[in-house]
Parts: sequence; C-alpha cells; structure tokens
Amino acid sequence: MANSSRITQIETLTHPDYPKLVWINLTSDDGVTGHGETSFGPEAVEAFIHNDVAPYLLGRNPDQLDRHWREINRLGMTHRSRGVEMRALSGVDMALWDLFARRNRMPLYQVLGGLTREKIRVYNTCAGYSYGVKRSGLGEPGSIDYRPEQPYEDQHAFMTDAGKLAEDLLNEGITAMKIWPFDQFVGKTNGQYISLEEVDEGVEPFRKIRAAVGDQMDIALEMHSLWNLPSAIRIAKAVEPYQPMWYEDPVRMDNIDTLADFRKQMREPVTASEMVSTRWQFREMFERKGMDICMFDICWVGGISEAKRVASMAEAYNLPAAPHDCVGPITLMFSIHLSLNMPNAFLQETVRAYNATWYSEIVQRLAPMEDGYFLPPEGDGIGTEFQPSFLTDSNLIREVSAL
Amino acid sequence: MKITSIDTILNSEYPGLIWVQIHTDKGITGLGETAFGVEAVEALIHHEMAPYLIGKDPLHIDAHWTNLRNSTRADLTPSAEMRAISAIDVALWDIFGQETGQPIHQLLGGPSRERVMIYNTCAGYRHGVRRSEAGEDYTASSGDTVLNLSGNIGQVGDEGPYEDMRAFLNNADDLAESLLSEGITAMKIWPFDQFYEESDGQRISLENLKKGLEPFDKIRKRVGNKIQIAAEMNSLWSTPAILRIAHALEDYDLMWIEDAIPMNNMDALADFRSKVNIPICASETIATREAFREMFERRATDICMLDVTWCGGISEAKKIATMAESYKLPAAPHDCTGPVTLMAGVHLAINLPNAFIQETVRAYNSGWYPTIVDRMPDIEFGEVAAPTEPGLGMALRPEVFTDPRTTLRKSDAKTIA
Repeated sequence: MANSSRITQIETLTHPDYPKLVWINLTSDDGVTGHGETSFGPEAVEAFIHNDVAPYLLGRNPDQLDRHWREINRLGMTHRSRGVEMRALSGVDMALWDLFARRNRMPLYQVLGGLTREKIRVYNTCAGYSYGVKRSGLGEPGSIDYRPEQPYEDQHAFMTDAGKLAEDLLNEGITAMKIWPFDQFVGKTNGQYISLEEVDEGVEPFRKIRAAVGDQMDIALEMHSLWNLPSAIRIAKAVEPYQPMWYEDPVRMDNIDTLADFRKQMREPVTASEMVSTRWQFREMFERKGMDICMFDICWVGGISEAKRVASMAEAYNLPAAPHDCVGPITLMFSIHLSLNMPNAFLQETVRAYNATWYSEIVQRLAPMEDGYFLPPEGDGIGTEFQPSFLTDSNLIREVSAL
Repeated sequence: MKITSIDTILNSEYPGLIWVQIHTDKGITGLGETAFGVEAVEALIHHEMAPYLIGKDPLHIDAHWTNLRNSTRADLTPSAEMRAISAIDVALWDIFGQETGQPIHQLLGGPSRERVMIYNTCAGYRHGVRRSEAGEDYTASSGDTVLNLSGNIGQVGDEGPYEDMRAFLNNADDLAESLLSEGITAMKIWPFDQFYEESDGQRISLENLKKGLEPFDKIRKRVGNKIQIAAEMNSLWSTPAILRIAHALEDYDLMWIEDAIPMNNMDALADFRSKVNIPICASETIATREAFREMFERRATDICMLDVTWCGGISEAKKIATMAESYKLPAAPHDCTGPVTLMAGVHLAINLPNAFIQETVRAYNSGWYPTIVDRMPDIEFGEVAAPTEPGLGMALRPEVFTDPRTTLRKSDAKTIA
C-alpha cells in the first residue's frame, strides 16, 4: 500500500438526463480514482463539495478515512438528517472507501470485513423506468411514467395487474417485491385523511398478489412518509391481513416517538428509514424502538462507513439491516458489497427496470444476479467503472477542484 | 399579489452570508438572509425553490413553508435546504408586513413589551461570516468552530474599540466595565474553545480548566454580579470533559451554559443537564418544531435558543417558541449571523410572551452591519426597542449592489421556463 499519498483531485459529474444525481471522483497522487454518488439537489451538493469540502480535502492523506468523515461533517451544521451537507459527505466518503479498496487491490466487501455470505437475496422495488429519475421541481406521489413498450413498467403493473407482476417476478426467481398503492390518494388532502373507499382500492394489489401466487411472494408496503399518524394506522391495519413483509416509512421521520407509537400498534414489522442519517439519529431510532428493520441509503446516511457503523449498531439491538436503492448504479454497487459483508443483512433492494436500462448506460457492469440473488462483484473497489460512452457524452458536465 | 423574481446576493467580503430578495408584481420586495455554505444555498434557491415560488401568492406563507420542506425533505437540522427555506420565509414575512403596513412583530401577535434586554456576544469585528485577512494573527480560540472549521476563526484586528474576543481572553474585567458603561448588563464568552484542539474535545486538563476560568474570575472580581455571564461551548466537548468544565463554572452564577455538547443526542444533553447546576441553553444548531419538541420532551434545556434564519424562518421560530412556552421555557433569538437575522430576531423577541433576551454583537452593530442595511434596530442602553416600520423595516443599501465584490443571481419566469 502506498504511504503518505495525497488526494490531488475532486471531480463532480452531472448529466441533464439524470437531473437528480451527482457523481464524485476522488483521485490520489498515485493515479487511482474512487467513485461516489448521491442524489437530490445535485447543483447544491456540487457547490458544497467544491466550495467547502475541496479546500479541506485536497492534499490530505486518503487513508485517514474516519478523520475526514469527522472533519467534513463539521463543515456543515447537519448533526442529523440528510441535507446537502450530509449527502455531499456521503458521496465523498463512498469515493474515499472505493479509492482505499482500489489502492489496496481488494474488493470493497473485503475492506469492510469480508464475505459473511456468498450471495444476498433481493427484492424488486416495482418502479417504472423513469420513476423519480427525470422529473424536476416538486415530487408527485403516485404519478406513473408509463412506457408500455418495455417489459418492466412495474409501477403501472402493480397498480393495474399486481398478480401478473408477482408471477413475472417469481419467474425470474425474485421472491419479494415493494409497492406503494396508497400514494395515489395523498394529493387530495396532503396526507391528512384517507377515506375507507380509498383504503379498499389501495389494498387491491395485495388481494391480487395473494390470489395469484399465495404466500410465495413477500410484499413490502412503501408509504413514503406521506401520511399523518391516524391515516397511516388506518392504511396499515387494512393491509395487515395480507401479512406484508414490512410497512416502510409510515410517517415523517422527524418524530421518532410518533414512529414508535405507530410500531406499537402493528403486528407486522416496521422498516425505517432511508430518510434518516448518521449514527446519532439511528441511535435514537433504536432506543425508542421505532422500527424492526433498519433501512438506510448509503449515499444519504453519511456514506459507506456510516452505513457500516449504523448496521453494526442495529446488530446490537438484534435488528436486521436492508440497504436502500432506488437512486443510482454506484449506490447499488456499494449496497451489494455491504449486504454481502454485514452479518445482519436482511435483503438488498433493487429495481429491475433501472438495472436493465439506465443503470447500465452509466456503468460498465453491475453485480451478477442469479435466481433473485446478487453475487459478489469481481474486481477492486466497488468493481465497476463509468461507461466510456457516458464519460464522453457531450452533455456531461464536469467540475474539477485540483491541487 | 404574485412573486415575479427571486435574487440571491453574495459578497466576497462576507463569504459566510447570503441575502435573498423576493420581488412581487405589486412592487414590494421582501428581504431574507442566511449564513454558511452559501453557494449550496444559492444553488438550492435557484434550482429547487424558485421554480415552485415564482408566480405564487407570497402571502400563502405556511403553505409555501410546508411545500418547500416536503419537496426538499428538510428536517431537524439547519441543512442548506433548511437555511434556504429560512431565508425565503423571512422575505415572505417582510412582504406580508409591507403589504399590510405593519411591522412583523405586530403580525406575529403584537408587542408583548416595548423594549427587550440584549446581551453582547463578545466577538471581534471579523468573527463569523466575514472574510479572514491573510497573514493576520489568529488567536488560538476558534469561535463557532463547530460550524465551520476552515474560515470562521475569530480574529485580532483593529477596526475600532470593540475587539471583544481579544478583550475577554486577556482583560475580561475591563471588558465587563466597558459593557456596563454602555448599559449592557449581560455578556457571552467562550474561553474554553482555545483548549479544544489539544484532544479534539475528548478531555480537558486541570491546568487548562483553570486558565479558562480566568475571565470569569476577573469579571466577578471587578464588577461583582452586576453583569450576567453566558458561557458558550460551541458543542466542542465530550460529556466528561464538559462536565468537568461545567462543574467548575457552577461557582460563577452564570446566566447559562450554551451548546455544551453536539446537538445530535438529546438524551446525552438531558443527562448533562441533570448533573449541572447552571441553566442550559440550546440550540441554534437544531431546526424545526420536531427537533425542538424532542429537546423539550427529554428535558434537555432550560432556555430555547434559536436562529431565525437557520431554524426554518420566522414562521418556524414563532411555532418553536410557542412550544417552548408550553414547557414554561423562555426563548432567546440568536444573532451572530447578519443584520437581517438580528432584525428578524428583534421582531420575535418583541412579540414572544416568553422572550428572554436578544443576542447582539456590538462590534457588528457599530461596524459592518450598518454598511449592509439602510436601517438598524434601535439599541440603546442595553435594550432594543420595537421596530416601527412595516415589515422587517430594513433593506439592503444601494452600495451593496454597486460593490464590485457583489454577485447577484436572479430567477424569474424566463429562467425557470
């Protein structure tokens, strides 16, 4: 391993086709580059990285991983939650760890502590091809980007023919799926109230899946923190007879006592939350008994190192961890490495519609998938590179801070 | 009324500050401000928020707050998103006040008092958001270190008589007399910050503890209990280190001890509070009702400190302070930030039934604040008077726009199309 190396360049990449994403490349003086990624407000993340992070990080020893996490964390006021500063830190931490693993010629999972398992089971988040990808401005819960000519319009499928979708997933060996059929009713009252008729309509996909494939399929209900407490309880109780794999993000994640109150009233597990960041916020969640399954997103929680710390804390509470991915290909690769490493990994999220299309336009390869399981990626670091066609695309915007 | 355009204004002399102007089709312009990570805030306002706000009625203040909070997923912490929302919210209240011809404190429920007591945060002229001058002699003490390690170190320079940080580190007794001679009866100092770097805040030696106590000794010896003293800790210390400091400070009858530990664990802060016989003050480093709710419920603070331009704006500050009131806790608006933040804090402190005291920095008020804005709060003999003009009652001076160091960026119907 090279000693007293220095970080010589920080590069951010953005692309108008993916207006929510920003990529981070960190290069050390031995010419090795590590990759990171984060999403939402990419221009602000970019501004923070070049104006606030780069003056600190350039010229530093790339091996001082924990130290850099602490110092970059102090550049902002974000002790908790995933603001611009925490997302920038997450992306930079990912790039630092990828760089570290590559400089040591090891796969990332090895640097994290090695393989705890040979493969990790996935669940399919039933998003369509452009869900959450190309929209700008305010999000519109429940809206559908419909591309009927493609086979994986999974959001349209769960809203219309969820039984057939479940069969299709099982054919590919995928035995767990996530859907959000109640989002469509949020807009009317901003989540303040849901009628009994709407609840019944929202339950329909669960009925169809159970009718079509029985208990062969695990079904997770994603609630996207859109509802007030009584509405969230009403929805969850209606789904309870179908034994969902979990209820995810039933309420906003800024009041863990409310979340704990929700969980106390449920018989099925509560998953939370990729909306939560840092060991400090998760500590509170664990202590207040806010959830059963620890979900985090590596590119928001504080990076791969913070994800590992949070997962280890979860283990101390006998709780499993399930890395989020509905974000980007680099985040998915980091998540797979962590899911293969951490002793308490539960399931790895993936979106087959993304894997088959735009993820593969950005990176050269994803981890191999077999019968609904991801296998260990080959190669150093995260084990993938940007596609040459992506890097040479004339619409790609590069910003560089260098020594 | 409709929002027609939004300006962000940066000036390289104040690299930690950003101003926001919201223009309307009625010719009314609202002013807002926030601090730190200003390029990120600027990017958020133009890319994430202006496309939503332009064309909207500026007076639907609660709806705009909720929608911007939801769309940016901001919570609990003064992230760039929450700071951008705060600046916008202040500007919307300024518009509301100008439209109705009322000062903001009147719209919040009217004055609970005609004047409110101030304390002086003993910073020098270049502390905080202002540019450091290269080659100048830094003190070892790092003001708001937790906020910005790289460029935010309080500095020794001679711009006038109020180098108050140098004064509290060297001759705190003279400083206390100087403040009392101006009618100021409360002061805030942070003499322990200088020892933090030795162990990254993990421990403090008995020797350094004694050195840190010197200013408190000197003040009490010279002026007795005539002046109230607040000890600012800037969230730099581990719990055992801060307990050692706090227990030593118990002998000085402090007004409060502020931001004892990082504000990311309210159980730890509540534990600290249960072991210390000094009122606890916290914290301008958290944001939104939800974060303050947790702090109140865990019994982690005695005094609710908030920064209007970080916690979510005037709307959120009022709601937080009202929650504090229901826990019988006083609120104290922060300012070591900028002139708009001070003015917004004053409107709140005049209105809030449970206002305790308003923070001010005399070095700023007599120095660079008046070069930025056309009207300052009326501060006299240790008190600030209720503003009388509509809205905030201040605007950016024309010189801000002609200054060559100023960058103005505008979003309007054309740029967002």
